[in-house]
Amino acid sequence: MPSPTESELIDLLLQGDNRAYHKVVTTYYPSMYAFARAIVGDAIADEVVQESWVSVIKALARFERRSSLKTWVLRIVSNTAKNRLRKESRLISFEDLGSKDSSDSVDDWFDIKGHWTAGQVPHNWHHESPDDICASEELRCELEEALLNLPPQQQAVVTLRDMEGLSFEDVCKILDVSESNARVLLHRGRTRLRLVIAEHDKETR
Amino acid sequence: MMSCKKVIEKSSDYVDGQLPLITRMGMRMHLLMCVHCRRYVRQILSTSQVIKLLGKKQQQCIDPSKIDRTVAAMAEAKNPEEHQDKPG
Repeated sequence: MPSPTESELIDLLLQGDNRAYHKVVTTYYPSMYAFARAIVGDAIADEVVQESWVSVIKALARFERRSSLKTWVLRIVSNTAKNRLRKESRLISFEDLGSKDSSDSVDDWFDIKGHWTAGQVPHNWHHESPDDICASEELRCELEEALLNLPPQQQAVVTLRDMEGLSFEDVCKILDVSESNARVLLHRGRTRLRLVIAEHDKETR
Repeated sequence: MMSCKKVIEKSSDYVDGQLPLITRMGMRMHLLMCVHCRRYVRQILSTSQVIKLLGKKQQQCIDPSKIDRTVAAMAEAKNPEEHQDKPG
């Protein structure tokens, strides 16, 4: 349920209050952009966000306020982005969870009994605290790039769950995926990004 | 006993508190005894926290003209008659 202030904001939006439009757009644009970019790439992410806002205004009277405004808005972004992909015949690659990308396989880390193989054990990191890790601008850039290069669905889940802090329930509502799929996607995305940190740590010893 | 491979597979779910009790306890037992998996799980947790921080740092100011354009489009969507050119 939206908080009281959020309810008031929605009422103002329904009345066409320009300041409310401004406030809500300024508040949610960064999250919407990050999420749209995961699905459609950064060339048209802005367009998708702007189209989504128009849809939000048109549909707002029908919003039943059972979820937060943010979740509902992101759901609209998801639909707008997917429609865009459909138009450009790119939807298939977004929804293709099936064929596991070979770079997601960690089978060769383990022997037949499921124990770590000697050369693959995780090494100790110089820095384990997020603040210390993010202190390196070089690593931050590598991570941002790696995030943008994640397969779209992994990128979408990682963005919504880890970056935006949304619950799994909301992530599933927004992306229209099952919870088990969402968890697999999140795990794969984090696994790839962990590797970026590990490699950087190794190289900067 | 859970294998290391199984533990790593479930590491994200573990740090997110998404595992049923029995599985969680099996993981904990394994982690007590396995330094490699313990390290990996800590690193996956760090990774998720780093991603969150990255998001915070990325919240730069959106170009105001984008905001203005968006607000204008919303106003027009709300009241299309008001934005049509008057006949004359």
